Amino acid sequence: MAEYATSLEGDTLEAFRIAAEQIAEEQGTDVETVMKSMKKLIYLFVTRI
Amino acid sequence: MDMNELYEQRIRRFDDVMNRKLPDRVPVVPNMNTWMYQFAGISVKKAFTEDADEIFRAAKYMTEQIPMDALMSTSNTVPLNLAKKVGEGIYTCSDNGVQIKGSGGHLMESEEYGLLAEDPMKFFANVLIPRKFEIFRGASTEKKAEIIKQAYADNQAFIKYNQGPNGRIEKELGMPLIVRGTNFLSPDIVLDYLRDFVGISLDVRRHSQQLLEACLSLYDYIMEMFNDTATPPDRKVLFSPLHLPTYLRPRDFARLYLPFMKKYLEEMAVKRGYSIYFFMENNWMPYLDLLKELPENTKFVGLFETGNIDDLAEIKRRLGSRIIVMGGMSVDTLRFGTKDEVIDSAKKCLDLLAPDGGYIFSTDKTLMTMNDGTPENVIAACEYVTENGKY
Repeated sequence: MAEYATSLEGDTLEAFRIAAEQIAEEQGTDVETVMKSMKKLIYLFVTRI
Repeated sequence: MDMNELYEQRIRRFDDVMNRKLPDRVPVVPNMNTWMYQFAGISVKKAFTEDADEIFRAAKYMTEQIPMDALMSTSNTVPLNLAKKVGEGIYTCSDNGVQIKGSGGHLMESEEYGLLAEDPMKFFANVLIPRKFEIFRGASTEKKAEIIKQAYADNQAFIKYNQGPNGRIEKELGMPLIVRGTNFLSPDIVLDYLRDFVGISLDVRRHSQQLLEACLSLYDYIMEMFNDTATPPDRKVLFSPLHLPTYLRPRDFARLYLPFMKKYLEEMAVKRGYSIYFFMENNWMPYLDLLKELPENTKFVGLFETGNIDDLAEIKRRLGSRIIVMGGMSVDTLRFGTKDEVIDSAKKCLDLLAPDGGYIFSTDKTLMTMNDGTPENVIAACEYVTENGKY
């Protein structure tokens, strides 16, 4: 185990939100729609790759 | 025959069985995976990462020689190019297939169940992703956002990559790809990706309440993701591979796993009308009475990982109103048997499992490599059922 977690604090979820905002702006879509895809991407990082 | 008509004819057989009607004959749906590529002499790595037309070529080569009614999928389910950019992940791909690395499934400790239960998405994002991928550790928030944007683009490209061959397989070959999506049941996420076999086995005994609470929370996260982008039920299935159940004692299964099967089937199949396909690994015979808690007359097919046709007949007899039985053809017979033995086995499947419908002919295990069945035997089994499985 590389690191041991003691809380849910961290900035990676925030980075997903920032990325979603940037993508939404670039693609002219709303942030909530992109965040739905981001939710799946988070899951994918842990379970599919 | 026109390919649209052929597609319709094939998928209707599947439809009829799922709707508990008698089809014109037993549907033939081998549990096909990367065997297809080896059979066609096509590199899996090239097909999955470089040239999507190779996926179509493999499907075309196979379906022109082996009579079947549907492919579950093309098996290209891991976004390997994305994984490579963030540090490989837990899968490797070669010309012969996709393999999982040894220790990829141990990512958290039992003391962390509370964090997982509290907020699965936050736990995944803030704790597990930096733990799993070095590229995230120590990076600034801005750098992480940059990595995520690239991963998002790579994942979109992966989805688009598959759309090409998938569309062509259905339109040009008239071959339904029957899996529309995959939802893991949450205890299998814990087994496969978070605690591994040794960890979850200890947790079942020492931390079962924390495990259960974490699985409930994780289940809601999985359902929320599905619902975010859900489309109405169609003629395809939602797939779940069930890995953990038969490693549990029946009483642990009843407490820690069965509730998730029941909840999922009641929500997705009974209330919302989706077709559900569970790949039921290993030996389910000690659990059959417990499965009577599952709802009746739903569109739920279970592929049982047993080549024991008598056991399958017993499952159908006891649970046929709850589970549409899929399987029967042993890959051991397909690999080591003579053609006559294969035909005898296919005949026994029809004799014991086909009467009154509720049965889909398939292999008991996934056909991954040529070691899982010789082409001659796979062809012989499928030909026999298409010729003799008429109602």
